Amino acid sequence: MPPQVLAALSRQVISHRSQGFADLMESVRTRLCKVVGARELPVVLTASGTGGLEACCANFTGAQGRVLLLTAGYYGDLFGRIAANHAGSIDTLRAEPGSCIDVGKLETALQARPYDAVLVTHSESSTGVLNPLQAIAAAVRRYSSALLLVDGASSVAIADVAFDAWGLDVLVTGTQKGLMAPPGLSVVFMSGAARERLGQSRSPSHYFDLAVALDRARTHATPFTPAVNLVYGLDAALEILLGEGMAQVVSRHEAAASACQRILQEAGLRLFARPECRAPGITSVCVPAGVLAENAQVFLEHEEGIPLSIGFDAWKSSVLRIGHMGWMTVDDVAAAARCIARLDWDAMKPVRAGAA
Amino acid sequence: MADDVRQAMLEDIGSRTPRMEELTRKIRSELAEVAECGDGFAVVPIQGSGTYALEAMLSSLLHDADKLLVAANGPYGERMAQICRVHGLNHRTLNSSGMRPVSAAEIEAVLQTDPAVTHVALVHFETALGVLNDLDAVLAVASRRGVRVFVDAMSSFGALPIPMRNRPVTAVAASSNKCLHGAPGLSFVIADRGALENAPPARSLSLDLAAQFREFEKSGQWRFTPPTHVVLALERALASYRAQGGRAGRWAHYSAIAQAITSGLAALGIEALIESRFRAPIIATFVLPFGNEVMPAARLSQLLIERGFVIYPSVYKEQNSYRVGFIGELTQEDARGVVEATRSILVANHCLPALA
Repeated sequence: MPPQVLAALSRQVISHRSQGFADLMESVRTRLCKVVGARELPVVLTASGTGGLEACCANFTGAQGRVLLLTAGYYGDLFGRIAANHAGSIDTLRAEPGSCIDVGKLETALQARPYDAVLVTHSESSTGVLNPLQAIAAAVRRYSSALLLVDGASSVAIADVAFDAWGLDVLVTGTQKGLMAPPGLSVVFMSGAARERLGQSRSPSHYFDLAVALDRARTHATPFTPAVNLVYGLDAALEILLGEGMAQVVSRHEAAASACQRILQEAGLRLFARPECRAPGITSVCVPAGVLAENAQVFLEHEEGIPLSIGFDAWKSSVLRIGHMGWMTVDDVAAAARCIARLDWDAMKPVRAGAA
Repeated sequence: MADDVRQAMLEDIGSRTPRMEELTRKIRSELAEVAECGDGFAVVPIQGSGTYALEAMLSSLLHDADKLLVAANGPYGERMAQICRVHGLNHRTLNSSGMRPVSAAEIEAVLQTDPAVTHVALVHFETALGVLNDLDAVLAVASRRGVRVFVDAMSSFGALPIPMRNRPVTAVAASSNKCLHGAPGLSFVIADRGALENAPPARSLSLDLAAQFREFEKSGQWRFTPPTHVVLALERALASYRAQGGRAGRWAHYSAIAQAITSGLAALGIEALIESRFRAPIIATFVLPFGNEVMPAARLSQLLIERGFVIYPSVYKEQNSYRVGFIGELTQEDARGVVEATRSILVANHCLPALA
């Protein structure tokens, strides 16, 4: 996290009912709009990104709602699990592991039956895949009156996102990834159509009632005590991001991803995500046969100081996931990738019982 | 907020690291010590403000066959009833005057006539007007009638004793930022282990207190990204809490602040609204000895805020009144300061003659 953000975070807390806090929140909300190209100010919730997704599903999938879930991995499935508590029915369009959503199949699904909401995770960080959000939004607009609800946790301030221009309806993100701010807040952008839909049904959650949050946000207030220090941190991070310029921020992430991918491939490693849909914020790489990804993860974290993650589910032991988002340079990422490329993979194989 | 608590937030730690696991284990254990709840209860932190914890508590622990009696003498009691309505939880509400504690006898009368009631929900200290409810008396009634109690202890936890051992308490909800002096953005429920282990099917993914508990017990990790900096601040705040004499020390400090402010304002003719036997040194409502036409409390609030004292008008509209809080990092100098600021504002605005 940038030192300016940490410094802002530790400022003295002010009353969340004060004009000072309203001014701070107005600054944050206005700056957030510039990050994703939205005209309407978002709401900021004191909750994790998952809490933001809960708010999204609670308010927009509806008890009678027919939902089409687009999933390319664990986080897409998580979006579906959250919606399952709220939606009337859910159909699922699943991408092959390492692939993104097929827009042609989406178009077919949208023409087959009407939906009230389509759910998609823009950057599926369990597989390192970026879904083609602009094309997905265009398909939804063309073939359906459904709201398009987007999990942007791993794509906002990382990949190109144009909320108004692409016609997104709801976009949710946390603050600790691309936004380079502390964890503990989530941000929900809503289109005019989404706002109209809000008033049509009662929210099945008190804390996550977005109609109430929007109402309070008219004066840049929040319905419940906000995490004031985290809002300070978010404001400072947004100033840095907008100072760099969002186009440059996205280019930096794309350059970091390209460098990481090239170095790993030159070392003979195979990338998990298909070439046409690799995410700019995370690279998933297959470890050589016989190697345990968990062993490599422990070695890299303890010996090289490189924190990374392993795969999900069936790929837990065969995939490493290298995050390159937020406060990083292309050189940082390239250096980490070279470290991984130089690994003695034989040493990462499981020790067999009885081996000398 | 104390300087050392703010400084604690300068550390940047990963949400899935061993350091975070240790930190989480430590704050759970220390909060249990503050609660003096014994091994029969578990502390379940939640990544959101106090209302999040309340909603998680009620929606996760009440079964369909249960019926909750919400004893409400103010907006915070009403908030629990609202949560029940939103989630369709079987409940009834006993509304009573905000000027005095909820009557344990009235609760007992309802329990006598409605045997379907299985639980009672009570706000320990209702901050709207500043009334301390008689938790001991309600627990005694609950014991006699064989029902269990949920406690909203947002404004009392850490300053007032909350009897839990061998009492019919199902759960207590509180937050990091009131009497514990941590940063806002984190709340917790201290729940009976049996209630957590036998919780009904989840009504929501994010609000699922039982799942959060199971994950802490299994892996020591948060289900979703925790507000790491706010957790660090709470760790530091708890260390200060112990160093300052724990609950007894905090009570003594708040009492001295309350005494200085209450007596100072009384000398100006400004008296507390609530009878002293129903008050607690947490927050109090004070009635101005003149009407709105002389100076509305909202104007006095504005002028006090300009002088650095965050004082808001009361929600009690029958009299020209405002609220003064006694908790947080206040000193005797602050106490004298708010009294003197009030005096000088009233003199400067020619309100003092009205005091005669």
